[in-house]
Amino acid sequence: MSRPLLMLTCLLLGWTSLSFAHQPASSYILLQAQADEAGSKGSVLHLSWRVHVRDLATSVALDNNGDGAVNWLEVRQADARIRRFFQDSVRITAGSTVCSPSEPPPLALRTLYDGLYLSFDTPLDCIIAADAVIDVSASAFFTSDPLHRTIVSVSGPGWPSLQQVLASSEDEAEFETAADSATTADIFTTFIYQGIWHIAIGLDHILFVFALLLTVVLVKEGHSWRPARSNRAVFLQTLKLVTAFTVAHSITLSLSVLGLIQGSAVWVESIIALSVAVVALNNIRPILSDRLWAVTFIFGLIHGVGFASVLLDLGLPPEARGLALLAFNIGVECGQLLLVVLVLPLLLALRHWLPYRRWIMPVLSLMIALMAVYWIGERTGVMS
Amino acid sequence: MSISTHAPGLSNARFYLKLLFSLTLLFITACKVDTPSDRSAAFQPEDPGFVVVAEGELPPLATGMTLQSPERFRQLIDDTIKRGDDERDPRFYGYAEGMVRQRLETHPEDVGALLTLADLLQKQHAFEEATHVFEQVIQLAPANPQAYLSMAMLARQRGDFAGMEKLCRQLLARAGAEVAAICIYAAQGLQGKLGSSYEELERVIERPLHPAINRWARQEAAEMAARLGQPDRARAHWTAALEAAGSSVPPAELLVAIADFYLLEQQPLDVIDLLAGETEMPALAMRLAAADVAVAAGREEGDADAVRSKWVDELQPWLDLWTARGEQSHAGELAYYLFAVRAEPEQALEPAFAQWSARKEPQDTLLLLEIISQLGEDSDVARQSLQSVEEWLKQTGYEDQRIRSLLAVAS
Repeated sequence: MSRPLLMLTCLLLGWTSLSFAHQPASSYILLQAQADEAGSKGSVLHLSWRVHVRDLATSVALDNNGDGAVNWLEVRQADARIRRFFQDSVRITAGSTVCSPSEPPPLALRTLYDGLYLSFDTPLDCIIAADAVIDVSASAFFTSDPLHRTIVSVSGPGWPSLQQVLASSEDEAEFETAADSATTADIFTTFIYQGIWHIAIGLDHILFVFALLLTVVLVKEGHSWRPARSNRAVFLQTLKLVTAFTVAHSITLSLSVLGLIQGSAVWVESIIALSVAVVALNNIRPILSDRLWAVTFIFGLIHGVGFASVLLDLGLPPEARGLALLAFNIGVECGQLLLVVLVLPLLLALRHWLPYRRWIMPVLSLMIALMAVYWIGERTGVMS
Repeated sequence: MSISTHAPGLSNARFYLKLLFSLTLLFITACKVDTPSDRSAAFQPEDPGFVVVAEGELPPLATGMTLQSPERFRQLIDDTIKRGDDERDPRFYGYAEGMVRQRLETHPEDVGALLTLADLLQKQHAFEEATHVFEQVIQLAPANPQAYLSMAMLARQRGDFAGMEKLCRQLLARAGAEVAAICIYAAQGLQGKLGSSYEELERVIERPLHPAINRWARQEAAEMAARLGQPDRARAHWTAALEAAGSSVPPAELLVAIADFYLLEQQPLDVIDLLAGETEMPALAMRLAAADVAVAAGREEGDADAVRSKWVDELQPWLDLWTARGEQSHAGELAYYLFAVRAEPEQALEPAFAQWSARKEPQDTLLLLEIISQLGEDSDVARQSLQSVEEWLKQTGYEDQRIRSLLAVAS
């Protein structure tokens, strides 16, 4: 994903806010194709139309009581007018089929980078074939504000990232969604790569596994650590922990991707950070040593939901959901194993060295725990 | 393998039960609860009185005014543009342009509307379209001085100083003597007569002038003094120009010009004083950032990088949004950001040259030469750009002590 597109996504997801709020007006038409649950071969288009309420007020009368402000009741009272305005000014077609909202969506608000936007989120009543051409035209606002731009983004499983800007001079855009006719091998390698890449850039997952490994070469004896006697014992303990983590996150990754469970990003990310803190602190003051695999299993369930959010954001090809899921999972395992292969020999060599047990391991664990506590604060919003 | 520690007082079975219970509860909560911290999530306020647009924030036309009366129309447009100026909010220029274009659909020969449209187009750097509209005004109202003055300023921006002087001379018969004189001296000062034109302009300034004309004259005089290498006199004119703005919000262009002057004079603290709180407009925020970085660099090593990085985090989303909107008219701001904030002269050169090719205000030429002088002889593109600037200087007779110093370093 290009940086501007990534940045725009961050803005639209509310992850970034512009400290300098004043921008020329923009509205957004986000179209996302998702596999048709009814089992047809095409995809269902979901629309999210987002428009700043101030801009909407230039075209739809919202201030019913004339007090110079608009409240939520006035927006709801204008419901029919807003829908009519949408129908009159936005047109989406797939091939020769006009796509209309399949159900009247409730009006809602979203806080985006420069204020409150009215959000109109709905599935559309057209099925998109794999090689469909989607046409979007939007004439809204260009008369009342020629500087207005409507940014249209179209995404779908296996599609290239598509984005165009509509303006008064060019208020129509055509999107060719033809996927790059990805082969099974392409899908498999792409999702393996994404799994490895997610582990590589996911510092929280790396630190969780790394914190587990730091003491896998040691055995608790009274109040101090002693080196594990045999490499075999170390390998068995590593296998036990890695297997617990893998089985657990595979379960929840699959359940999430199949839509059977759904996690709140804030909670899941916070608990992932908590899991890192717990494992790191356990290295310093162990209370879970002989049950660490059980704790790893439980936390692995949460990490799985975290992996799933990444996979869902990537978009699964409808014709190969299972394959993509499997490949992504294998990628995650590969990334994890790579970490083990890189770190474990070093730790095996260090385990007999007293400063490692007395200083290096506890200090590294403390640093990891502090980092995790920082993440907890950041992700729960305590530090924002 | 034996891993020995046991949680005191707990049997294995009880421990597992408690652990599984509490963590499963945590897991279920994580999967069920959605929190409002998810900022972009759609929500429906429970309170019908929840304020969606606060009082005073609605666009002017949404308040129910109509465009039937020309006076009300003119007032509404002027108020909208003033709000854009005062709040540094380009959204209002868009609304104003929408109103003007609606008016022109029914009254295509409304000279006032055409002039406003041309001014708004100039603000967007749509110079060709603006020139076309000014020409329309001149055809409709040949005696109107505003079109000539604005076209003279456009000619200057394009670097056509002889053309600027011709248009200024048209003002002699159409505007007050002072307006024509300021315009002509400004044009002559760009064509090899900097010293004498400055002296003449100072004599005009001594006369009693309308505050808006006084501000413009002071601004021209400050620029000329700076080009003559007389920073103290330039500073005095800048101060007077700011005072002439009175209690109203000073125009952004004036603040940009003063900030650039202070930065070239290595006085970043003055920029921080001047632009305190001016973070709503890219050109101003970037000058503030450059000053902040310069002050930090003067303190201790390492500090400047932290300050720079903070500003990059603040400003980068702005540039990304421009890119997402497909905006092409921000080459100058992009060049300034890359050079003065990110300290990346190689990347800044291309947009700086593009900006200078389209517009030749002193700040554009100075920025380009600063970048070239930092890049030095090693860059082919820098050498070619330098050649273009030198040819243009020779052609026009443009004088500027600061440019001379930069040229000495660059070549």
